[in-house]
Amino acid sequence: MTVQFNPNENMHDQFHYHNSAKAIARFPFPFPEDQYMYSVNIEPVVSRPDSIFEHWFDVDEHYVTEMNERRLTLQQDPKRCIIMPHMRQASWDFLEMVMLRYAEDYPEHFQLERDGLNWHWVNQPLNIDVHFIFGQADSLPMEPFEFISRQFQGDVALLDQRDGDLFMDTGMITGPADWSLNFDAGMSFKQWHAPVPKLAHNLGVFERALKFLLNIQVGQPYRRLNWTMTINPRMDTSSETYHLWGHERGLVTAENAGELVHLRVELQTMPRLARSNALLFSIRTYLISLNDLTRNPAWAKRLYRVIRDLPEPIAEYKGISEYREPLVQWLSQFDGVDE
Amino acid sequence: MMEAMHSTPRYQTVETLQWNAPKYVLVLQHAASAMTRQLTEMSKQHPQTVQLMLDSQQDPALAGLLHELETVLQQEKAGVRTVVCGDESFVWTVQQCLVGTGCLDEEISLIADSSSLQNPRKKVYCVHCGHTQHTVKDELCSCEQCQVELLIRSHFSERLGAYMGVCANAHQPMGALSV
Amino acid sequence: MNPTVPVHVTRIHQVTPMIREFTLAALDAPLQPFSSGSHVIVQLPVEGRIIRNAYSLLNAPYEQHQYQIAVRLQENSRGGSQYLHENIQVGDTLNISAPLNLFSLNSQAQHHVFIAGGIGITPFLSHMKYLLHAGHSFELHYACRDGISNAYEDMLMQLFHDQVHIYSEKTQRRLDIDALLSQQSLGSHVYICGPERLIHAVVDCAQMLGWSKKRVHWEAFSSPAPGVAFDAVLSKSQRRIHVPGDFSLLEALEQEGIEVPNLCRGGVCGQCATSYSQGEVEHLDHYLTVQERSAQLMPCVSRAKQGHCLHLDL
Repeated sequence: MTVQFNPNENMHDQFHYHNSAKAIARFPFPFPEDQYMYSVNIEPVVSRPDSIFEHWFDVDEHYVTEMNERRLTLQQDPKRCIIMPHMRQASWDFLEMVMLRYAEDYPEHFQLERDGLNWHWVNQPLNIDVHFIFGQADSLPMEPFEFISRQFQGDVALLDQRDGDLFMDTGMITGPADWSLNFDAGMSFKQWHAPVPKLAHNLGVFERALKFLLNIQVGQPYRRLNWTMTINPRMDTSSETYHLWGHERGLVTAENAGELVHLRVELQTMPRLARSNALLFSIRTYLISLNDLTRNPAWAKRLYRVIRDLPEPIAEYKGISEYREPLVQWLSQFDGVDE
Repeated sequence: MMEAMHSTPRYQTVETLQWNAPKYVLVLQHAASAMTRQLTEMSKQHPQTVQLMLDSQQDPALAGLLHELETVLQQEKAGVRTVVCGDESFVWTVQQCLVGTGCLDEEISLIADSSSLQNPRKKVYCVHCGHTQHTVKDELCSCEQCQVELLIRSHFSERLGAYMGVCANAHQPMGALSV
Repeated sequence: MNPTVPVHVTRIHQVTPMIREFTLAALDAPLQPFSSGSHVIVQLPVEGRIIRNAYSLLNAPYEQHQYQIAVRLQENSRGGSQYLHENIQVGDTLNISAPLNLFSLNSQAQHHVFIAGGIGITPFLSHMKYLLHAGHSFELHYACRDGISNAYEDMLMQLFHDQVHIYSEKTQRRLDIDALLSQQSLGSHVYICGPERLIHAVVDCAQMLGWSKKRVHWEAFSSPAPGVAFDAVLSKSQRRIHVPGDFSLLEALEQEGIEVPNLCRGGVCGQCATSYSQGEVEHLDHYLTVQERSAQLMPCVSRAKQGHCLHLDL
């Protein structure tokens, strides 16, 4: 599958970002109903051709852009990449999985040749061509986890499975929805989900999700969608930089909402990493302006109803409260009929 | 502080300690505090107790205490229980040391001696610049390093031993005093 | 429900008169890699039913091309181990599940203490090969009976010498659990695999010594214990099934064509949890809380109490 990569995009200050018609059509609209509530919406990874679900790890027109954004963010703040020493085996598992999948699913862009432990990896879009020895960290220019995550579209967490729980012991997090890897590193599953509204905790969502994730087997990954909203097509909406972008929520009006407000959807994919028994938690982020999104009338109408009726604690947690009013006002144009 | 969440620490009390393990190590911040005296008293009933007391509130004393603690624990056997009593800043600094030696959470009792102390300190991690500082505040404090006015959240990191401090007002990151 | 893969038997080695080792290789798709401590579930067609037994993978995780398991001939067997000992030959095909790991090494341990009873040695063989490669610290204490269950004794002494302690009639040594645990430092974690009574002995001793439960990791080596026959009523599908004494409830359901999600088949993973509304249950699992047990049960190991009929939400 050949991908056309968008040139000259900027997702951090000047904001130059464009979704092609294809990107818009394949956008993962996350709402199956007219209202939203927390649930354990985990499903098996089954391929759906011609969609973002076709491959385990989706690469799209923003690949080169996002890798550049990651590079810039890491330059500013190296703590966005944390690798705990006991996760070395998991790091190699992850590197192997990405190289195998990318080379198989996007052969025009990525190639992998293996002769025993002597591997040759080519990443054409990023101009990378390396020979290395699989399992030998010093044969790569940097830590294997960092090496491969800098080429992987989406944020990554490697979860250590122990004591009947999952621990966020390694991560490359440069595009999070308002959380901090350095703060959450080392936390257990329920600990890092602590800030999510009590609503979700009371429903037992995390208890059930954890039990489920602990039993994920090799070769049988699961996935789910998560959503929030972002002002401007900003990739790095971390807690680290909140003091710089948080004020943008105050810029939204009933006139500019379509241009400024973006729906941010995360496709989370969770495969078991075979040799380490760790769990991979990949977070692939899709951004779309509401102007683009609302070209689909069904999506527009549904989004209006979801945001209008969203329980306040959820709106607060997702950072929407400050501009909910002008946003709902702008969205109301898409719903002619009251049900 | 904001409402407690799942990651917010919950401390033990002197009353809830069981004293049924073969060996105890007590790590104490303030000799004069009522809680410390209570603990010391109760531990006398247990034949096997080692006590480490911080002799001054200055940093070098703390470093010395931690070093001594490591040495003691390296010679101990698995099953030893540790009881730490002091303000939040102290107990979590000690906890980090304990975990480093191999102690598991259930083998550690943390008692936050906040009510009987004059200026109980907690640690706050500024998520914007990565600086960790001590504070006696509960709601807001200013980051010593980058000056952003921080809301002290109830989200807590055991690894850092600190509460998260995040910009309280994105429209005025440096607080009301700045324009 | 759980996909199986066909593998063929490439080698059989009689390790002791009671223990037979099988080497399995891929038939079509390559074998999945695995982490040490993993097991696979082998499907055995015995007397018109399918018996599913779990066996630990004993080879090193670095070996991609084969799985190795060792099967002890069980005296009160339901026929699974007997089938493997008597009916399977080199060249035959077996259907197995993907590897599942419920007995992994703890990443925080600085020193791993392994206690194996008899055929319980198998997961440790994989762990030790992994740890040797990774350069980490461990010791093995192996209680066994000469000529019966002392599989791999010679290989272990050769490969790991100082780190291996054998307790048998031949070595004239007895395993002193209290002494062993009492001398462990704070960096140690203990792992047990073997008969239930060995596991209980270590777990109880650790508790007496003040250890956190999270310092102790165990895997039991048992098929579901046979029990008294009973009936079950399936409320949703309006059916009544009979569960013979030598079938687990899960097996009886499967025999009737009723699929229940399952994974470990040993009462520890929680996958097969089923709601019930009537009847008293003999809970034999290690998963549900007391509260949960009032409304749910694990059909892979639990049964109805004598004289009771269970009403299941199936």
